[in-house]
Amino acid sequence: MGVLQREATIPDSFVSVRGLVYEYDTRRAIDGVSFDIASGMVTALVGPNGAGKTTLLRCLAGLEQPVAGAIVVAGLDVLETPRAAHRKLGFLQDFFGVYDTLSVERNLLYAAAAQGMGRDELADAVTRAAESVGLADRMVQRAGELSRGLRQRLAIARSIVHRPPLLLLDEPAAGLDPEARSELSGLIRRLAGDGMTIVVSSHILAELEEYSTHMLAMRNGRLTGPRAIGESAAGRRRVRVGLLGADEPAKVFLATQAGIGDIRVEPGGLSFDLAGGPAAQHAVLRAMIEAGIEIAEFAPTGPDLQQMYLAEAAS
Amino acid sequence: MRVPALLTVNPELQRNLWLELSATRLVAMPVALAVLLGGAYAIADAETAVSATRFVLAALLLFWGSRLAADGFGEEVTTRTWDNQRLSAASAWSMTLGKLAGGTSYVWYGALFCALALAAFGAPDVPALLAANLVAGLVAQGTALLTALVLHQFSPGSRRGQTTIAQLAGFVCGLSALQSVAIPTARTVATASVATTTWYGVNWDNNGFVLVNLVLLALWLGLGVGRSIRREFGHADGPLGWTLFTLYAVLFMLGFTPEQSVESRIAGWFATAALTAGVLTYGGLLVTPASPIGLKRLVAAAQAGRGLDAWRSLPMWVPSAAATVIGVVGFVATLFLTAASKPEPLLPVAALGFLVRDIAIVYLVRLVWKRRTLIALVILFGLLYGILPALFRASELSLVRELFLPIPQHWSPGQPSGVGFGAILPWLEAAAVLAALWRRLQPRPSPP
Repeated sequence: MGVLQREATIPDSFVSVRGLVYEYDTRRAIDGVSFDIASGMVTALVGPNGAGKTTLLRCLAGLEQPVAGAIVVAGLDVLETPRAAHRKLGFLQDFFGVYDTLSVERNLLYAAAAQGMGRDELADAVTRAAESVGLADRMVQRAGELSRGLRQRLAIARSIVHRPPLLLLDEPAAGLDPEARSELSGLIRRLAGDGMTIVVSSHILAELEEYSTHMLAMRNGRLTGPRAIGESAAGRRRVRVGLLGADEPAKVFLATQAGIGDIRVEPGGLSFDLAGGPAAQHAVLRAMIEAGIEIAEFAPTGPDLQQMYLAEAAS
Repeated sequence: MRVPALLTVNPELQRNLWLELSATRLVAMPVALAVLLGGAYAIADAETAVSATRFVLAALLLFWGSRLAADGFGEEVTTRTWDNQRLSAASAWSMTLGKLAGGTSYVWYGALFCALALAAFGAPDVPALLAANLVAGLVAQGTALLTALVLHQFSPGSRRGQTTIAQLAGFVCGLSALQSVAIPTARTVATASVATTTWYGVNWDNNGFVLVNLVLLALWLGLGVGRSIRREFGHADGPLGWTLFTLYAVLFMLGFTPEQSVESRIAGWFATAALTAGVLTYGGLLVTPASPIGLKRLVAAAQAGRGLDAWRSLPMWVPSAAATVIGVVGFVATLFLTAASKPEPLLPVAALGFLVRDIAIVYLVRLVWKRRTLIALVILFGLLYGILPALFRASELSLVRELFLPIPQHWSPGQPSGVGFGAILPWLEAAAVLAALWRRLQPRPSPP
């Protein structure tokens, strides 16, 4: 066992971290961090420089050995069986790490083979990865001859060539022009749509907001979250309802419903706090319609990523 | 898309072959060798051509081979592809083979043409010559890659001078290996007599003995590279490899114990074991980075009674140090039980105190200085064991001198050492350095 202490029960999450402690020399970079990430979540890892984001991602990838703690990815103990865990994850660091003198095709073939893919799978995997990042027409070109943006794409393709269920991205948009950033956002959304669980560290909060479903905030080696984006610190979501008719009947009706609080009348409708996720929203909307309330608009609002992050920083 | 079969067998080997054996390079090597060696044959004679070929062969395998072995890894670190290799699912042993065989494949390709040239020029005993160069090449390249991996542990973020140091280490070891084998030349082949080596009381053909042991050394180097890569890959293996190497080295050295009476031979075995293990303790100590995290892991595992975890966190010099202690105790006990003149028991007690002190010093220096610690340690130990004792010897301050050297001034082996109070001094020094080390290891609070 490669860890000092581990809690007896680790929940059945896709990524589970318990009591993670990491030190550089005698300075503590990660201080007893625990969290779970469910399958399919796109988690934004945010925090100031030096907060420990990169170290946390490197620990998740099994590149750093913590002083204490346990990390489980897809049921595999990353610290105990790092090689097996690597088949389940892809990690794009804040540098390219591609072989400049090899062609795009050979870079991807090597990456896929090094992840243990069989000979009959390699060609398909390489073609699929190259197509997903728009490099299919540059397979014979040397990596060293590609532009910065294209090299970044190759690095992403290398990280996903073995179709890992977990993708870790450390500052993936660093150094990219706006167009390339937009393409990167599209790619992350597509990968998330394919069911990949993604953890992205970045300073560009607006960009993270485009594709993230949850936020992990890190400061001084400590962590809060993950919280669903749009959810308050208490785990409640603000919902705004636009009404065609009078607001009083709707207000009276909502007051009788479970999980609803802080109902406020606003111009053209009202807003309220709702406990729970999309299923709870669906139930409330359906109940309101069945109660004959004329609804013109029903929209979860709540704090955006930047507001959530600043609120965490202030607390 | 063409997928080579080797790619799925050993991706690292295939990648290196892609890089090293491009079409241009495949043509360039034989052309260059043909010009060089053919020119030597045309200008001079066959004997000169053989000498030139032997020189080129050794230069290829030892000098350039060491460079390729060290530089292949250095390039990975510089271009940040090493982290991606660490993220792969490939085994450390497949990486070891891929890097050693693939990274140096170009010089082996050149060596093939040198072998053909030697045969064509009529060199004497070509198989022996090739065997010696083959083994020396493996030793050189294995040493270079292992040195590069060891240096990387000390400063993972910097490559400054590391490749050159690793190349030089490989070249020196490879050259020593090559020179330890007596290769016949046209002049010596007729007059050569068979030299022998006595090992465990048996006379062995010298060349065969050396070659077999160099092959074993090359295998140990391969094992060392594999274990180093496993550690880089995040496996916590503990010091099993170094322990086995210590055992092997002790058994190897015991074979040279001279034929004597049974008592003397047993005492000699213990002394040889203690000396060999002692040298390996210091060797292991110098190539192991001081890792506060590793030490904390070890202490916590030991406190929690998790034996396997404690073993995995154990620094590799510890089993060698334990073997040294066993050797010293066995040596003293054997002399006590058998010899007429009793040795001074405090002498080994003092020597062990110095060993503990030195271990603590190495860790403290590494934690405080962090960079260029090897130079700092060489200077420090030169002061402690050379300059300061010599100064105090000159001043006849014997007690002060015992602070730095446990052996009294006029002592000779077999005589009572006269070490008395002086035996406590190294332990007091050890305690002082250990206390400083403990303070250094205490965690500093995180910045607010």
